[in-house]
Amino acid sequence: MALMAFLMTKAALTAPAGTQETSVVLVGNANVGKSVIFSYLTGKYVTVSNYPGTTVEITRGKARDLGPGVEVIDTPGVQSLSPESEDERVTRDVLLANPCATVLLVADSKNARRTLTLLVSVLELGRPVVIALNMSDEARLRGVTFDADAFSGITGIEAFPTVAVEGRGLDKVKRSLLRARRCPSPVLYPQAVEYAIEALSASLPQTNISSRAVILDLLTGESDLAALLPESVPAEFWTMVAHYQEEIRRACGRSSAAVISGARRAWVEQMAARISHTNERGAESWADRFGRWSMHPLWGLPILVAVLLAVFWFVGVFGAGTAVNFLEKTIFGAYLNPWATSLVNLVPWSLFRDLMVGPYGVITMALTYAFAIVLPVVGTFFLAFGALEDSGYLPRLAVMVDRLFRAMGLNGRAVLPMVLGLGCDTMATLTTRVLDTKKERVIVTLLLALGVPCSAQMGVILGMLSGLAFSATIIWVGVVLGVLFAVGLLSSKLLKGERSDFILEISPLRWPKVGNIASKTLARMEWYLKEAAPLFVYGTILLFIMDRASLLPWIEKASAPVIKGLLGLPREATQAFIVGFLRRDYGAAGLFVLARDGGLDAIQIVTSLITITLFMPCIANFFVVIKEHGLKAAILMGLFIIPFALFMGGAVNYVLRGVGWIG
Amino acid sequence: MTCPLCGLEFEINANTRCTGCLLKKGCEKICCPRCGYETVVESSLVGFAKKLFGKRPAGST
Repeated sequence: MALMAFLMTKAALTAPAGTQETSVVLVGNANVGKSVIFSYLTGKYVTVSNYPGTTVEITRGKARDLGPGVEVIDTPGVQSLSPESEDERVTRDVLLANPCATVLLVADSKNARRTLTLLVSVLELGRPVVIALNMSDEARLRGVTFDADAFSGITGIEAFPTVAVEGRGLDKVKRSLLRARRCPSPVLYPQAVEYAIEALSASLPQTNISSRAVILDLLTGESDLAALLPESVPAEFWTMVAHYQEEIRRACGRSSAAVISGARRAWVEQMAARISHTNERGAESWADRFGRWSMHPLWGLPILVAVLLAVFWFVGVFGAGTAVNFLEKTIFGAYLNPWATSLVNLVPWSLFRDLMVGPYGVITMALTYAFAIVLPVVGTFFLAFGALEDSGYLPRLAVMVDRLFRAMGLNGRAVLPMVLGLGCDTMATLTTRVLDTKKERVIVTLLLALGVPCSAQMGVILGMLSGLAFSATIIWVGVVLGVLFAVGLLSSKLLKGERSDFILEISPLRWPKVGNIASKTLARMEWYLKEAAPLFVYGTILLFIMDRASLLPWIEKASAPVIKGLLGLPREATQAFIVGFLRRDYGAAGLFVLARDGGLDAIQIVTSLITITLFMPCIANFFVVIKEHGLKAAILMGLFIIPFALFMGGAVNYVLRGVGWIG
Repeated sequence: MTCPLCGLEFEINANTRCTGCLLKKGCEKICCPRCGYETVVESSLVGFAKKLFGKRPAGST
């Protein structure tokens, strides 16, 4: 396959001019919005395929409104076209294989130097270029200006400020692509280099790439272009290349590669100074300042607490209060459940009626819990989480958590799975594969299963805690963090190894967009219902069967010493722990209903929440632990976690009753 | 798509789907290939609404 890519590139280089298809190739640094502009230029129907011989994906589509048969090719994000990585090699090869292509350079308006560095590489190839100065809104907010008119005046290349996600400026870019023309490379090289280019050009056979670009590349001595040149290149040409490399070294006192890259860098610096400016007053906007504070070891903490309180209030008061009341009492209580009951009562079989609308009915319990209790709570949590995600706060939170976990004594590499566990413990368990030793992987998996509640469970827990005094939340947070801290300290004693940081791109803070939040929240709620609702139904059927087989009263009686004696909970709470093993949030929802109906006092609520938080997350997590670490390790973890969770719950129960806390 | 956590720009494909648990057929989450952060693809409801009302990328003609 690599050979095929090589032959394709070589064939395109030597094909007669005019036989190649017209195309637009999108080139740019990573994360500058190429994909959005690609979608704009092509519409919906695109082909995604690996570039031959590589794992790098290239997206192709037919251009809309750029003439018949014009193809648009999106390339991977690159820093330059010197093939130091597979992405850069593929991008360069795409440009070489499409000699009639117009290059649309998608640039980050905030970073002129990075843009100009890449531009030099593209111009050397002799391709027509148009520049989309993307994210110009963010540049303006940060006080950065890129003078597109001055730049076009100097270089002859058209450049347009754009905000791709909003479609701003893209129409001008599209029109410019139709009239783009080749511009000579603006870089002035020392005389020795220019002389070498002139002398070597005469001996180089004509290809579809500018001979200046080929020779400059060969002179650097770091090129792999030589293999792509036709066999008709005379042997003495290579001797001349070596000779001129030596001449340049003698004349300039540095290697030809250093001389060439130095000239390019000098042009980039000079041009950046002329066309890009930073307004000192606007250099640090409120967003910059706030973003910086939010990562600060001291100021970041009150911001983190404020964010958590806002989420707590929104989920607890609005989600678990107003929204649950409306859905459960009005929609389900007054309409859906009575209608379903009267409809099911038409069926003559009592077993079916009980299964649907009885105390453990699929409609009256499973669907009511899923739609009327858990959905509004996790829905509001997803809404708040979507806002945090879209604002750019999450990478900053990760930096903060990294610091906290380091202070707790956890190995740095364990931080990432722990952070991801707040989304889904099952998926986070898979990311423990990044850890080096089996011992590390097992301990982090244990920590995840033990003390990191997933997003759905977190929502329901916040909903329950919001009905109590704030001290209840402090107790819950304190106990869970205390357990993590203790196990973290233990793990730091057991685990050796160097810290390996993970790289985060800290994007600027911005006001979250309502459309993005709504779209993500809908997607998460849809995902949640697809995943959780079936398990709620299975859990309810399990309870129904246990009840019918008189197993439930027997289990409640058998577990009474633990549930009633140790945890101080009513026997009905046993059911929450049974279904909690299928999904912790289902168990938490059972406790929520019990608490709301007056079946639990403040101490019982805190005790039950701590116990269920420290319980195994869900059956999916248990299965993935088996998959990753084997049945024996999974059973051993379960044998540690379940008694430990009950022990901690019991300890909290006795301590709170002992000190007379009333919540 | 761009990872909301580490900022990596990546294409959604079979390798970026979360295949961790026994619910993988129903789970529509996407995992960032660099940091593993999970996120969701567009809701089918939103996709349906866009199809219904013919919403095209902003600024398109």
